[in-house]
Amino acid sequence: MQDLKKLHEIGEFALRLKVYKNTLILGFSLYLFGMLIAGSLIVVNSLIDMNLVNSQAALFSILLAIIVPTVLSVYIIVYVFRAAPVVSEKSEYWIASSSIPFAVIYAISSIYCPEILHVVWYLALGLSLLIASTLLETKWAKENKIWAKPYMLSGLLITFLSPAVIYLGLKVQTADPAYLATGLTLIAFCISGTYSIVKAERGLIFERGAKKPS
Amino acid sequence: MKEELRNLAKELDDVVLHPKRFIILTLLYLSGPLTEGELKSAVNVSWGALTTHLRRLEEHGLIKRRKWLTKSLKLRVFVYLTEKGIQQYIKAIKSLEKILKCIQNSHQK
Repeated sequence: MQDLKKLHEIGEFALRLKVYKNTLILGFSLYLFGMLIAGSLIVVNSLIDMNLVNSQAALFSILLAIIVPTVLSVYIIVYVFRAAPVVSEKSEYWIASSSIPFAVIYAISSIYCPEILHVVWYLALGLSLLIASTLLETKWAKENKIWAKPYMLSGLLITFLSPAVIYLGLKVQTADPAYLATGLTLIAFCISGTYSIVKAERGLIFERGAKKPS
Repeated sequence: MKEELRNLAKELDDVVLHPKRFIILTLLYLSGPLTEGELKSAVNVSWGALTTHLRRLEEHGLIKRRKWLTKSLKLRVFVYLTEKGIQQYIKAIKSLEKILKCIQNSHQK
């Protein structure tokens, strides 16, 4: 009887700890991705501004500054934090949500409004986060695999602010609106990541918020 | 009540609910793939006992073993939970909960 009780206590706590870990990693992924990608873009932009990268290599460098941090974030989250069972689930959904909004919005704006190409990524990012949240986060939350939806929150914040950013991008044809968009993205990621970490902490401590996975 | 307990006891999975195997499954559930060496030191068992437990779990399709390259470019055997393993682990905890509730109720009566 005592052994069964002990096993049950360990198992029960393991289930809650797993949900805690999933929620924490989801929030932390926003910090990690935000810092890596913003850092790389600032480094590349400053190198271009100082003429240390020639104009032919500029586009390639920017692409590299987006691809390398993305791959590095995925590697750290999936392998270093060992979040593979949750994060890598339905990888086709991740790929679709991160590529389709960018492809569609860049295609539309390059045809109809090329003046906003330098800021349009902000809207694409917001939509991409909303799609990822609808396809994956909502399902995980229903199954009680996570206690917070940070992608939904950051997606809403970014999408809500994107008309203002695009308007400014249309008005001001310098890199400043793009810096504004980068700053707003980091703030949105910070708010959502912190919200997720707080929810994880509360879920673990307070029994009521800590439902078992179905 | 006894009949109910007997039925619930039938639900208990003796493969999952062996104390050492339960700890192995808990570690794999929480931390994802682990090497056999990591499991050995975490569970504190001999190599022989670990191999026996892992074989038992593998025979029931709860875990799988795969050779992967580590960061130091050495081939190591990693153990990970299968989807069936995850489901069985969660089911075992739920069955335990039911049994403990049933026993508690019978004591109260």
